[in-house]
Amino acid sequence: MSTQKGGYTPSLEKFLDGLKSRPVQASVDLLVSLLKRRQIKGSEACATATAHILLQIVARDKWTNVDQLLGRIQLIGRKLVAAQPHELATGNIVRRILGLIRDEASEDRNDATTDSLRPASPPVPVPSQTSSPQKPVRPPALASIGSFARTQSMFNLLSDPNVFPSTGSNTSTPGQVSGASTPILNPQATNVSALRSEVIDGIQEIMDEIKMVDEQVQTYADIFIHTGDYILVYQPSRMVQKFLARAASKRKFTVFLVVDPSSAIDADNQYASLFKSMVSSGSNVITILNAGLMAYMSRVDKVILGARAITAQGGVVVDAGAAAIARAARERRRSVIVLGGVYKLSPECKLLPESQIEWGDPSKYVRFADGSLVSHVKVKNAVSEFLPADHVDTYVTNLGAHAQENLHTIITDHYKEEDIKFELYGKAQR
Amino acid sequence: MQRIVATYHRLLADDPELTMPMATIEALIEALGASSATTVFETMKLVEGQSERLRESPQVANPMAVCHGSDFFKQYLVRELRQLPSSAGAASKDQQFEEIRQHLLRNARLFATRAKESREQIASEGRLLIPDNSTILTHGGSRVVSMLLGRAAERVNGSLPRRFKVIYAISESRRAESERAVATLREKGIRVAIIPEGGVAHIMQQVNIVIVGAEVITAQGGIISRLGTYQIAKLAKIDRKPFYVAAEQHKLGQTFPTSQFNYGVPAFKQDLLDFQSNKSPNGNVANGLTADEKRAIEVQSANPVDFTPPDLITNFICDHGIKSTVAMEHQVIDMFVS
Repeated sequence: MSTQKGGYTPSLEKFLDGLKSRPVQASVDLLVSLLKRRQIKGSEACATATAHILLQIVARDKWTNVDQLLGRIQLIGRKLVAAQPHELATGNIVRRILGLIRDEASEDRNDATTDSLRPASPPVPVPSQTSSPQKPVRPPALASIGSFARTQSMFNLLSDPNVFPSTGSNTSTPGQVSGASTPILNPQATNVSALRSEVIDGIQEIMDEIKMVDEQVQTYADIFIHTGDYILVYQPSRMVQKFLARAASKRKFTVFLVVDPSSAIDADNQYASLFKSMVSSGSNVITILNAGLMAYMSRVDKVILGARAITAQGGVVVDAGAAAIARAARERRRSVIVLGGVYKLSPECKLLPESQIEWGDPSKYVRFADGSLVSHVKVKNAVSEFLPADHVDTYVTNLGAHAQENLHTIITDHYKEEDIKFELYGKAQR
Repeated sequence: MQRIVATYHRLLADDPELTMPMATIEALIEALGASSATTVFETMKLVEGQSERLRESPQVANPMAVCHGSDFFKQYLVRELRQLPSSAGAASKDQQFEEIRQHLLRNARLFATRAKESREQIASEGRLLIPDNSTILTHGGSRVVSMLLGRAAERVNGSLPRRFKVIYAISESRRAESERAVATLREKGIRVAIIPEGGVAHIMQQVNIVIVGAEVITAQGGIISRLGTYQIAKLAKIDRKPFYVAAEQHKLGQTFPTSQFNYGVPAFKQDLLDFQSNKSPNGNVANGLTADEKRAIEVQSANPVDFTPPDLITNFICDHGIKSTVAMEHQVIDMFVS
């Protein structure tokens, strides 16, 4: 499997390097095949690649109105998601960018026409167009209309079919009943080049956010890790390692580093930097094998897991093996903390937990050379698994710590209703 | 004198697909049409008075549903009023209000149609929550659940029918209604098994998910629904089976039950406990109740409901998506507290 091709193995860096020199369509096709072959994997890499490719589409494709752009992004988004439906982050970024475009477009329209197009709800009255011609900061802008958006769907029931959000005039557009899809009234009126640059800025902000996640999450480290704590981590991702290192710079505590027996041999090299930073500040790291885990659980205070993705209901996709640890922790009433950037939080609520289990390369356990085994035994190896929401106590994202109950408000702050409804995953997983 | 009550019952009888909050809204719109109220103040007063009359009426089986319907309607009016341009004088405001009134009178039927369309929406949202080759437990005569299951067994936009079986828990007292629902499902080719409500715990092991309907969604994200729902929810919780509630969002409202016996709605007088012995055959009904109160107890106990608290509910399948109980709670707060 791991045939080393020297410097030719495709990777995220190489893909990004060549991005500007290739035609957009070629880049899309390349990314799709990279995703399919798992040569770009992991939520961060997938999210970054998605943001970059969509940036290219916004910047280099020809589009004359907002609908066209949205349609294009939706089309590409579907392709990328279908290429690797397990990576929820891809879909998240697609939806974030769709929402971003809708925001910028509606802002432009509000600037252009002096009439209030959106009926001003009590909390956000008219100032939405008078006071914000300058750059708005994205999440707050969305958040402020959050409560409005939450109730709007209910009032659609009694709304007048003939009157659009506009002021009482007879813009008769029959057929469009639900306000679910924001009507783009006169897309031509929007200034394409201004919109383009604003959307590009927005996407760059999203990219920055992805890059900054590790730093931002680790700032919460000393809130969760206290002196003398026993912390259990399982195959810590870079984010979890940084989180521990940050806490170690202030506190002395003990880390139980759980590794899977199959990867125990190279664990020392893999986590060398973690060992170094922990030991240099006087904390301890104890490596234990997955099998003897439960015996240690009585000593453990907290379990910290890195998320591959977080679903809308609070379920977490984790490395295979972590769910068993969480269950062990639950049995002993130890708290389970999940780390992950907001971009990993998926608004998609129709995914079945079973579909989140990813099966992959079992060569760690059974060598291909072992002919009799290979030909007679079916070996399945789970790469990731699903941790139900009730096994998690706290979610720490770049915005802070959240309870499971509050995840949905983060979703409404970051995604638009119509983009959540947009069927991205299609038949991919079902 | 009780015209609104008669209208309400006529609407429900005429259209078996109509939900109770929707019937309330339609009845209020009809009352609005029959009245001569023209100003904002008069209209609000009329709506207030009529909804109170309907709520307090001993003939109404579920006053919570009436509350929710009328509160929603009032909230809509208030919201429309707030959105009117504030520059205009009081006179022209009344005139603009007249436009809103006309819109309501004109479109009463449309609202009912939309409410039914939201059921279709729920069906398409819920479709994908049904795991392959699963067994679904349901009960009661919920139209939303019937629609959801029926649609899931069909081919929709090229996506294959979901494969599932249904266990229908049937209560003796409402046998006819449940059997009708079972018959419709079987007609669609869905394999349905019937068990009495007493057998729910026994069969729970075979069940993959539970889907029920609701009459009313309460302010804390629980539901008030057919008697027996609470019991099924508890049993599902013990066996850790996902418990979904399929309900339209217009069933949402401010009712805040604090226990099974206190729903915080004075008009609700359901009393299922009729303690009797041979020595005092009249039980506990006799002590000084008015005729109306006795009638209310009778009507409401004939269609008994119970309260299922939010911690037993996995998620709501709503026309605006799959929502957690907390999301529903927040929606109530956004609706009525802002």
